[in-house]
Amino acid sequence: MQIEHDDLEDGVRMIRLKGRLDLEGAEAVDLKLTSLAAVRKGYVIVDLEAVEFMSSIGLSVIVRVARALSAREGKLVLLQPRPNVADVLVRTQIDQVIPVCTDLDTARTTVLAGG
Amino acid sequence: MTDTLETGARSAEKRSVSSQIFPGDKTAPRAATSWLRSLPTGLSESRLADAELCLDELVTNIVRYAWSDGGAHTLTVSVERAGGEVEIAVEDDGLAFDPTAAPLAPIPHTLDEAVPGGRGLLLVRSIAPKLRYERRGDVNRVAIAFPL
Repeated sequence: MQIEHDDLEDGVRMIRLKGRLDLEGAEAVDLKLTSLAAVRKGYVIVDLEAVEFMSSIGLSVIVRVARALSAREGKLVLLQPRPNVADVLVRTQIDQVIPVCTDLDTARTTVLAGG
Repeated sequence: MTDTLETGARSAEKRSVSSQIFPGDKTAPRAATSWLRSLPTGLSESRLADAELCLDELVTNIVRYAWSDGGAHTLTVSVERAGGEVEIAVEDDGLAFDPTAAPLAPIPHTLDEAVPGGRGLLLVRSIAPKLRYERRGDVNRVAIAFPL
């Protein structure tokens, strides 16, 4: 599991995950994702385009980070999940509480709109 | 690890069984799903993806919660193709646990309500067309089945 980030000019932090977000993958990125999301303004986009598989344990890592951001008036938005990953978000109805966007412009607008 | 393959006839229909033993640690979910994908199950990609997710969730539950003694354990995954469906069974000798009856995570209406845990079983129960649990002596056996 790989994790990279960029800080966009509007203060949004973009975090890109790559690989399998299963038990091993979740353990591999948990601390780094939590640490990267602790950005000052709290506007975070997590790009899932390169996540080929996500189980509930991987989803839990994302939910925990989203809750932490929300607790300090930040926001987490998910970007471009593959169909199998989007299916996990829909079946658990996490897509109802964490915004899921299919393009970067919408993700930026959504995250900057706040919680 | 062992791997066996039998093709042939206990009944008139064509039947094949493969089984594999995995270490009961954090590597098991990925190893088990990778092994499933290596088999000629005949499932469509869509159903195989569903089966992969369910198997991952069941195995993850076992390695996280089945054993409390901290020792080395194993679990066994068997895949059987018969009667127009593929059955995937997972066996462990851990604490008795019935995934067909365990409580599910509540559906969250807000992020605050999105508590950790319980979503794996929610996924398995919502995806697997068949889900069966048996306690055989000291062994949990959970089977899921998908139509070909």
